Amino acid sequence: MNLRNWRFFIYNGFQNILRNRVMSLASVTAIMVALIVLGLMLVIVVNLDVMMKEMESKMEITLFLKDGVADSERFDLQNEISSWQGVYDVEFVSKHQALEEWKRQLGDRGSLLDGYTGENNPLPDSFLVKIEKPEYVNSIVEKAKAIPDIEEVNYSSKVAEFIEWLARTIRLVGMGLVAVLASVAVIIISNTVRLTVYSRRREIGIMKYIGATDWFIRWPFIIEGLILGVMGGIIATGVVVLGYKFLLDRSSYINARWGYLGIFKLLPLNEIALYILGATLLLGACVGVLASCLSIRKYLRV
Amino acid sequence: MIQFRNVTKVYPNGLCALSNVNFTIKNGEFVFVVGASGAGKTTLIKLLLKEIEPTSGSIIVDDVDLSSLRRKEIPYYRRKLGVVFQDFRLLHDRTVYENVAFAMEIVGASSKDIRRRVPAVLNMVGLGLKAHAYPHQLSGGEQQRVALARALVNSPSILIADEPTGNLDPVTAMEIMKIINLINRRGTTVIMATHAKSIVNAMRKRVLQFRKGVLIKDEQEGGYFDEP
Ligand SMILES: Nc1ncnc2c1ncn2[C@@H]1O[C@H](COP(=O)(O)OP(=O)(O)OP(=O)(O)O)[C@@H](O)[C@H]1O
Ligand SMILES: [Mg+2]
Repeated sequence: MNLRNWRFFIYNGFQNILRNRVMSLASVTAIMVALIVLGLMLVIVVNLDVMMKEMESKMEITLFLKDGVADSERFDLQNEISSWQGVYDVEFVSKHQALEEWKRQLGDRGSLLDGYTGENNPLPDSFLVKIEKPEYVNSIVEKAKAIPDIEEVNYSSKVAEFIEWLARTIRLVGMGLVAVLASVAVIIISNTVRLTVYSRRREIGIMKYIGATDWFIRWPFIIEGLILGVMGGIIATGVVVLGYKFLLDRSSYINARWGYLGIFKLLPLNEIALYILGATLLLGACVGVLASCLSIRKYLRV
Repeated sequence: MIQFRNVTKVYPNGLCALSNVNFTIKNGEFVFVVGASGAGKTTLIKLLLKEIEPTSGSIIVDDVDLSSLRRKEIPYYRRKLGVVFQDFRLLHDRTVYENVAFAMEIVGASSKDIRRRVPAVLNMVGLGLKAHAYPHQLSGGEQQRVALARALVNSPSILIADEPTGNLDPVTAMEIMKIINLINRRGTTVIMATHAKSIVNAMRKRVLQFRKGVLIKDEQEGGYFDEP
């Protein structure tokens, strides 16, 4: 295939779209809706992912002690841990305190734990280690694990788990929604291409008599689908990116009100825009090409 | 060389459009295919273009049995043929020049070849001055010349015409026939379906006459007269 052929295919692809404006518009709208949902999902999930990492790093590490560690050893240990790089506070939580806390969490049903006070308390003593910066977590965990008096290291956090769950759920639901909407877009685009094939059947017939190969006849329709999908992707990116920028511009307000949670920190636009553009263009192109291939298989018996 | 060997075509509805047809056309011949409406002329041409398949028998063009052609090979086979129809079949949104150039683009000719060849062919059919007109600005005879130019631009070895003069008045028809005859004299095999008796009788070429799908006459320098 030479260059001029491609010029012909692309020119014809655009011509197909312009000839069939109403259906082309419907197609672009359909794929756009699907891709906006994709974009939104990506924005949320990417932000949550980053937020989660930050949470995980900010959180506290709990070091459970073995039973029967002497007080003096414990003080030495606490001092040692305090001296580690990245640790800014080490708080001792006795088994007694831990049980009280657990009781408090159970509220009314706290009396259930009454039988476990004193000698019967099954909970271990622990250190609550607070960390300065995310990058120290791993080294601290490693060092703690190497200490014989430490039974277990726990650095999961309820909030981080919740955010993880949230991201997973949004990703799952979002992907389902994107799949459904993309299927709708496939149907609409393939209908559009079918109509173009129909309106060009005379020309297709002539091309066949002259000896055009199957692919020479097919390419303009594939390119038509591709253009529709890519246009949908560009518009969807525009919508999502502008919406995100709107949110960012107002994030100072939002942070002023809820910023103390330390959660609500949006990623900068430039870190996210390319990502969204890439994803929507890719899916848009795939949907468009898939749709026209379906139509061609069915209606372009060359 | 074109050979029909025991070719029968029965359409899905059971209608037998051609029955047990045999003939051979040598390179460079000029052959009229004649017969009343429904005799099977268009069916014969569609078979030759491999637009439809014979129910039985075989069609051989330049030593290739058309039934052995794979799907991918069909376009390349058709490039050997130039085709002209009664209804011209031009692209309305393209100029005369573009219609003819299109046929060269499809077969992947270079821009240089296209620029050289298209005007030459348009001159040959007498349309050199109308290159930039659109089909709707042309008379029927002129449109058929464009169709001829398009059929010839890739230098096919066989020209196939299905009632090319069917929509034209007698004078214009004779002009078209002059061009077709000229093409034939330059070596192109011509197969032309028609029921224009005056043309057939004026030109005195080989005549294959059909009646209800049966080849009833194969005559050199033949004529076409009312059937008894
Ligand atoms: N696709 C088809 N399905 C069924 N029957 C068909 C089909 N095409 C043609 N026929 C029938 O086959 C017979 C031969 O048709 P054909 O078109 O070959 O005739 P023709 O000689 O070209 O006629 P005309 O001079 O009117 O063009 C006719 O009876 C026609 O009705
Ligand atoms: Mg006919």
